[in-house]
Amino acid sequence: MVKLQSSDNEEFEVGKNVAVQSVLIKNLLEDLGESEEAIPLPNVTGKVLKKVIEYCEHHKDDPPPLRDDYDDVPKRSDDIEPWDEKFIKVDQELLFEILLASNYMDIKPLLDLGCKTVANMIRGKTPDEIRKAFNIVDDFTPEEKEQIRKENEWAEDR
Amino acid sequence: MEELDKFREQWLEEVRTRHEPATQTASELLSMSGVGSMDANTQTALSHYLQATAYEHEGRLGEALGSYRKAFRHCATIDSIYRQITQGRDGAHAQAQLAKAEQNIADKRRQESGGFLFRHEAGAREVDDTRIDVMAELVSGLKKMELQCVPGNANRPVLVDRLPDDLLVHVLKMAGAVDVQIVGRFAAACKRFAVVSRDARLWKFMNCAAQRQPTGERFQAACSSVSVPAEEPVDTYSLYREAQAYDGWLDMFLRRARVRFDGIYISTCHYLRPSSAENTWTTPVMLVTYYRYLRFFRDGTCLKLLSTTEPAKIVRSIFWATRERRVQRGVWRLDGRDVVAYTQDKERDGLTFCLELEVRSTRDSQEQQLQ
Repeated sequence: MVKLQSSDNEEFEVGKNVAVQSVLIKNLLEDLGESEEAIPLPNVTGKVLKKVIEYCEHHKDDPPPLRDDYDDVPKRSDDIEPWDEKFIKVDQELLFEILLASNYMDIKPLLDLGCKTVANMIRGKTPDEIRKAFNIVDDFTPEEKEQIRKENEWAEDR
Repeated sequence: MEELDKFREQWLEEVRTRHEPATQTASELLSMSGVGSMDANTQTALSHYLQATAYEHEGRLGEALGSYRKAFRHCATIDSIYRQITQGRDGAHAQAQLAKAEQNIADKRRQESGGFLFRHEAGAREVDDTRIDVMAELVSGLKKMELQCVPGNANRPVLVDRLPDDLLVHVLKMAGAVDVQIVGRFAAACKRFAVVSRDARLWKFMNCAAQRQPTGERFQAACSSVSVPAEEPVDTYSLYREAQAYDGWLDMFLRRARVRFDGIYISTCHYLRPSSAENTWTTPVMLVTYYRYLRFFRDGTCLKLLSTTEPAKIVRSIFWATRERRVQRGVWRLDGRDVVAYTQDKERDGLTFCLELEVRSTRDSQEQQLQ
């Protein structure tokens, strides 16, 4: 068993096969050996860590992801497994927290899942709707806007 | 560019007016040219010379000749002096104008980009900026700033600001693999997104994705019914080599030919058919037009349809699960620049058709050859 400690000092005990899905923890265990002491994760809150562990529990028997040539393997945002889809149906704040946590803990499949979900959020939306979804405003000057529009013409002609 | 043209016009106008019948007197010209020291003899010569040019412009050649003679009598080299003076003035004038125009253009460009565009160090003369360059400048200017999204509703936090650019690039890869249009719209949302969406890693990925051999469940199923030669792996290495010829990965993605999935390729064919008509002197000919529709899907499948129905009426019904009987289903393959489509005709005993096409990077980007 491996103990993990969140930034708000919550402790979680998980099986080793669950914990090592995080490459960060895997490397830590390999370098330092197993110990009774909890591994501190100062960037992850208890609420988020719980979610991350839930994901790792479910996927503990998955084959390890291919890591070489990662950039050359196109991923699509529209092939999400049903369990994953339900798991990631959370509010935007938690979604982004999970993204950051999986990035920090280096859990590639979870990071991909989070990114796919965000990609689906912007999919089929107009710039205006994207702004609404992220609660941001248009901060372009009219000239910049015109340039962006010209620049992106290729994306709009169909 | 516009400014430059405008300036050119203005300048030509000025030159024209100046060459019109000389209304200036010698002293005026002298004061303008800044050549003060000149003996009385030369001054008289100059005024005669000016008078002569004025006459000449008006077409009074006899009088002009008289004046020229007077001028040369006073000073034998008056023509070269006159040229010196006017050229000196022209030169100074033109240079001042040019400098002013350049300053104007530079100012204007700085204004256009909202104040954070830096000027080319030695490039003020270089007004032939292409669109991409201006954009790159704008982006590099933006990159220097701490970009933060401006909240639409101040009471709610801008959560997306918590995500570093790296993660947003990753998100865009996912989105871009589905449809590049998503990326374009994302970029148009705000400044930070615009900068992120120009990340080289994203466009490198997009190039690789466009080159990848398709796979997928539907593809496997379609393969089983159509005989397809074995797949060759993507040569990523050659892609890198090819990238040298382009101005970055984004440029490569935009200019390089690729198969598009967000539409349909249509080839219009005509042929003439003699027809017969009774009781006429002429032999009527029928012009038959038919269309060859070809639709590619990202998962490696494709549809082909030969029809005389016009595009507007039929394109909406060309999708995978269509009920249209004559549609041929099949798979496609990338073979370097070539796309090979294998389709099967269920109506004709499952005959397999092979269509070899070359993708070209024009707007309509498809050249067909039927085998």
